[in-house]
Amino acid sequence: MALLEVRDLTTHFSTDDGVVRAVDGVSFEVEKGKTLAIVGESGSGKSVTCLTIMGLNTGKVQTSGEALFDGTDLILLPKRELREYRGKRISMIFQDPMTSLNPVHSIGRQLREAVTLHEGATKAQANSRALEMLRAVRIPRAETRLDDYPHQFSGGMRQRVMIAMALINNPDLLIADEPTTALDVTTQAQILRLMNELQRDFGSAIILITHDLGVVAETADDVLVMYAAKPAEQGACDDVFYRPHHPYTWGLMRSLPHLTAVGAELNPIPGTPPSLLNPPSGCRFHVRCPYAMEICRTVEPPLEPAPGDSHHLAACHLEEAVKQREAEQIVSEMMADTA
Amino acid sequence: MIRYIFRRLLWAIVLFLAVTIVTYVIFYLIPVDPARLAAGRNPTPQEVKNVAHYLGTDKPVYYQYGLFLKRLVIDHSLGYSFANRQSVNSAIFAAAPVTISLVLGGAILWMFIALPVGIYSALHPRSRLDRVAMASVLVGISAHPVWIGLMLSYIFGFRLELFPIQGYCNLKGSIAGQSCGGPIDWLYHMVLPWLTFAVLYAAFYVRMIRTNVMETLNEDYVRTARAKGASEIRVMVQHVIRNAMLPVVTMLGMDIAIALGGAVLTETVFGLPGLGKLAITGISTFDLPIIVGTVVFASVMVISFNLLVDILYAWVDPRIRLA
Amino acid sequence: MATQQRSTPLVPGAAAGAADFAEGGGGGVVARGYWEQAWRRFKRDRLAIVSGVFVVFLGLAAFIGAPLAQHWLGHGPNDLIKGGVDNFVPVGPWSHVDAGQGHRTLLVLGSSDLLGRDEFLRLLYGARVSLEVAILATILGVSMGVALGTIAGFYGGFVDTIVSRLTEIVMAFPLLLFAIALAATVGDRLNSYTMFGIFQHGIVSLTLVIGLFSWFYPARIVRAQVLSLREKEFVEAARMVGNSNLRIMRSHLLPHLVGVIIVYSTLTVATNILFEAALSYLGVGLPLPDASWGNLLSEAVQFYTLQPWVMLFPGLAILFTTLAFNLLGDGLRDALDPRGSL
Repeated sequence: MALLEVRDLTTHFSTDDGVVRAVDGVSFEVEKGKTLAIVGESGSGKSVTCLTIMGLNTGKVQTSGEALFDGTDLILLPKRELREYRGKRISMIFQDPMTSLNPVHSIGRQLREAVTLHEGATKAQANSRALEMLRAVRIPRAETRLDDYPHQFSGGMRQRVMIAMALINNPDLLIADEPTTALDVTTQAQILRLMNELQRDFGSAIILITHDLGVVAETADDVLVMYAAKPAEQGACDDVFYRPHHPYTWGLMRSLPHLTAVGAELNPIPGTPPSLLNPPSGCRFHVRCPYAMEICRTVEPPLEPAPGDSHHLAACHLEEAVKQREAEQIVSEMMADTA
Repeated sequence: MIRYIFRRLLWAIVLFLAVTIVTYVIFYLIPVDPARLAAGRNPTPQEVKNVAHYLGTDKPVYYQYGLFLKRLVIDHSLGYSFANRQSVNSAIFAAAPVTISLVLGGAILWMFIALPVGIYSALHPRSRLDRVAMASVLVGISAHPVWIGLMLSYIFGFRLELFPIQGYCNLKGSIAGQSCGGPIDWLYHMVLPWLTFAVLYAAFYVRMIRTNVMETLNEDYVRTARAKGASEIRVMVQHVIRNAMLPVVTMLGMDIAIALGGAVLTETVFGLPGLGKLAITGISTFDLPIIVGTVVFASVMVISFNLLVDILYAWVDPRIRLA
Repeated sequence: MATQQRSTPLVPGAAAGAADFAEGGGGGVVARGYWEQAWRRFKRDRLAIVSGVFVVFLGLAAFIGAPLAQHWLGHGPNDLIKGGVDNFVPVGPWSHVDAGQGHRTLLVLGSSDLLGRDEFLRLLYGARVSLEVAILATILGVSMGVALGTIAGFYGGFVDTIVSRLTEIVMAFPLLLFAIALAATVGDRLNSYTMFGIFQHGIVSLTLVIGLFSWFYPARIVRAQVLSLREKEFVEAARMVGNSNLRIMRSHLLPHLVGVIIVYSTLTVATNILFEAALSYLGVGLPLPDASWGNLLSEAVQFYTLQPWVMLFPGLAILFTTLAFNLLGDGLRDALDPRGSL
C-alpha cells in the first residue's frame, strides 16, 4: 500500500466574488521513499493540494475526497489528531525562507519547538537534536549558530534551517513547496542536492512542488502535471518525459530554455492561466491549446490511461496517433538540444 | 546594543535641545514684552525696565536661552511664575501626580479593554462582537473627548449618582485645603476620568491590535508553526501575539508620553488640577514661565518615553538588538 | 486582481517566481481604468456613499441653509433672545419664546447659553467654521506634508535625513499644549485678519495653527510611497529621456500619489474638526460671540446637568461630521487601494 493515497481531492474557497475551485478532483499516490513532483503554473492548485493534505488552508474552505496517509484519512481527522501528524510524520517546507521563520525567536528555539511539540524531550535533548540537524543540513559552525536569529542567515542558509526543522522528527513524508524558487541558481542546486541526500539517509517520501521541469527530471520518480486545478497528465517520470501525452506538457517542455542554443528564442505557452472563479468550459486548456478541436470547447476530456500503460494518465481529446507523433517530435527536439 | 542605546541617547539630547530652543524662542519672542506681562498691572516704564533686567529679557536671545538652559540643567529650575512668584517646579510637582494617575490608570483600563477585544475581533472577523467593536471604534475616534467626558459624567455621575462629577483626591491622604483623601476617595474620583480616557484610546487600540494580529496571522512563519504541529493556542501565544504587539508597545509608549503632557481636555472636564489644567491657566494669564515649564516638562516626558520604548523594543526585537 | 492581459509567459526554471499569477485572476476580464475601477468599488460601499451625501448636505446646510434659516426665524445666531433663558437655564428644543419688543420667535433646538442665543443657528454657523477651518487647515497641512514627503523620498540621503529628523523633532513636542499656547499668543493677534473679509474673525489664525500641526503624518506616508515608487521602471525611464527632477516629481510621481493624498486628506479633515473644537472649547479658538462647535460645548459645561440638550447637540454634530469624514476616508481607501497597501 502506498504511503499517501489521495483520491478525488477538491478544495473550494468561498470568497466575496464567488467560489474559487482551487483544486478540482486530484488523485495520486506517493510510495515510501519515493519522490512525486507536482508541476504547473502558479495558481494551478499545486500548493493548495498540499496545504489541504496538511489541513493548513485558511479562509472559508470546503474540502472533499480522501487523503489516506498510512491508511488514515487526513481530511476527516479532527484538528487535534491531525496536529500529531504535522511536523512529526508529515513535514512541510515553504517557498520563501525569508519569511517562513519567526524573526523574533532564535533558530535554536524554533528547532527545539519542533521536537518538544511531539516528544517529551528535555531542553538539552532537544538542543542536541537541533544541533545534529543543523550539521546534517551542513550549516557551517552549527554549534555557534543555535542562538542566532533568522535575519543573521542568508536565504539559502534559512532554507537549510527550514529543511532541518522539517526533518528533525524523521518524518515519513516531506512536502516541499517550491523550496528553491526564492533562491539564486547556485543555491538552488545545493539545496536540491541536499534534499536528495537527506532523502537517501532518512528514507522520507517527498512531494516536490515546482514549476521547473529540469528539477523534476533530476529528482522525481513520478510526475503530476496540473492545469487550472485539475490534473492534465500524470505518471512515472520517464513515461511523462519520454511519451508526453498532453499539449500542456508539450508546452511546458518546449518553453524550457535551450541551454545550448545561445540567443535562441524562448517558446512560452501563449496566454495566461484561466480564472478558477469561472473556468473555461470543456477542456480548460482549450483557450491556449494550439491543437484545440471543436469538442475541446464543450466536452471535458476524462483522465484516461495511455494505451498499454495503466499508470500513465492524460486528459486530452486528441487522437492517440497525433499524441504519439507530437511526443516523438518534442523528445527528439530536446535530445538534439542536449546532444 | 550598547551602541544603539548610545545613539538613541544622543538623539534624545538633540531632541531636548531642539524642543527647548523652539519653545523658548517662540514664547519669549512672540509676546509683545514679557517684562511688561510680568510687571503686573499698569506698570511704570521704570518698573518694566527693572523687571526686564531682573528677567534678563534686556539681553540677547542666545544669552537668555543659555541662562534658561543653565538654570534648567544645573539648578534644575524652570523659573518662577509671573502671576504669583511661585516656583514653576513646585507647581509642576503638585500637578504631575494628578496627570500621572489619570494617564496610567486610563492606559491600564484601555489596554484591558483593547487587548481581548482586539484579539478576538482579529480571530473572528465579521463576527457579531467584531462588528460591534468596529462600530464602537468608529464612534470612539469620531466623538469629541470633551463630549465623551460630559456624557459619562451626566449619565454615571449626575443621573445614576454612581461617581463624583468633579474634583481630585490625593492618593496618600488628604492635603491642606482638600476635604477628601486616601486611596478609596482617589479611586472613586478617578473612575469617570479613566473611563473617558479609556473610551478614547481603547478605540484606537482595538483597531490597531486587530489589524496587527490579522496581519501577523497571515505571516508565513505562523503557517510554519502550524505545520510543525503547534496547537492554535501555542501559535497565538508564541508566534502571533508577541510579534503583533511590537508596534503596539511603541504606540503605547508614545501615547502615554503625549497624554502625560497634555491630558488637557479630560482634566478640564473633570476639574482635575493636573498639568494640562496648569498649562491652560498659564496660557490664559500669559504666565510664560508656567507655559514654557509645562511644555518643557511634557517634551521631556515624550523624549524619555521614546527612549524607553526604543530600548524596550531593541530588547524584544533581535533584528534591532543585533543590528 | 490582474486586470490587464499580461503577456508574461511561464518559463519553467528560468522565470521561476517571476510568473506569479494571482489565483482567480487573468482571462476574460476587460481592462478598466484605475478611476473607473475605484468608482465601481466605491459605489458598492453603502456607508461611504451615505457619508459622502451627509458631507455634501452639511456643506449646503452650513453655507446656504444657515442664512436661509436665519431669515426664516427672524433672528441671527449671535442675537440675545430674552425668552431663551428660563430661571437661569437655557430653554429646551422647540420653544416658542419672547424675543423682546413683544414679538415671539421659535428656538428650534432651544437656546445655547445664558444669553438665550439660538442653538440651532449657532450649530449651523458653527458647521461653517468647522468645515472651513478643518478643510483649509487640511489643505495647508497636507500640501506641506506632500511637498516635504516627496522631496525626502525622492532625493533620499541627506535631504531625507533632515526631513525625517525634523518630523521626529516636531513629534516630540506636546502638540496639543503647543497648539493651545500658539493659538493663545500668536493666534490672538492674527484673529482680526480675515483675508480681505472673505473669512470670519479667527478663521485664518485657527487654520494656520491647525495646519501647522497636520503635516507630519501625510509627510511620512508620502515619503514611504515615494521611496518605493522611486525604484519603479517608469521613473527610471523618465529620467533616461532627460526629464528634470522637478518634472519627474510633478508629472510622474504625483499622479501615483493622488489616491493616498485623497484618502489621508479626508481622514485629516476628521481629525482637524476635533482639533478645532478642542481649541475653541478651551477658549483659544474662535473668538466669541461667533459660534463654533467647540465653544458651544464649553458653554454647555456650565449647565449640562440642568439642560443636557445643550451638550448633546454640539456633541452629536461633531460626532456625525467626524464619523462621516472617517467613513468616507475608509471607503475611499478601500476603493482606491483594494490591496490595502496604504
